[in-house]
Amino acid sequence: MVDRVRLQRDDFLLDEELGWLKMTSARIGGVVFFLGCARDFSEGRCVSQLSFEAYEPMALAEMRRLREEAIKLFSLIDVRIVHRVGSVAAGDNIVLIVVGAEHRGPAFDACEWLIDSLKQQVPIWKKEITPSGDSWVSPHP
Amino acid sequence: MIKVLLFGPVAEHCQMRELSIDYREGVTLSDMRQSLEEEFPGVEKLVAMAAINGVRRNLNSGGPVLQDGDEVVFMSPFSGG
Repeated sequence: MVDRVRLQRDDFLLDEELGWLKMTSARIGGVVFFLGCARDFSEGRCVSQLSFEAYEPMALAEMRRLREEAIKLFSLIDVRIVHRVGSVAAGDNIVLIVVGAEHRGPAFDACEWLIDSLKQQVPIWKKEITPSGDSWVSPHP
Repeated sequence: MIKVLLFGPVAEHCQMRELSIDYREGVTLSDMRQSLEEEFPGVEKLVAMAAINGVRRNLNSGGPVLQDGDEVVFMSPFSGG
């Protein structure tokens, strides 16, 4: 089985991640996904591509820590977190969080908590590539 | 030697991803940040936090004393996701 927490250049497949999550336990009663995608428009500009850089050892350690924390905090059964690095074309996938719990409530709550925490605590930086130039993105709430 | 790694906006400002700085006993994270600013003026306003050997550290005045061989990263606010 592929690692539950990953940084990778290539795209990921939702069905595969879901399959791996469900293999961990038949007690999972609710699965919630968050899928972050690259928008082709931002702050009034067309965006053709995004570029992601990460301080990879720390980013992976932080993602693993958040996963462990979410499992304890929300009594989850399993969590998978995948974030892409390198170039991502407009419309393509950036980040996937898959949360499995006995019931849907904690799964929804944990998914939101995880993406909010990832944005604040994981050392990844995003650059927008536009026809009028490139610029690093300021953090979004 | 202290290895300093730079990413994202900080790397772009410095036009550099990695530099090595001679270790001297008692050097602190703040000293290192000041050296970076002297070499690359303006970088300070991009730096919001740091990490030593992959562990996040606040940029308080003084800051922790570094050890020979440490890996230091000066980071702008994160924007993943």
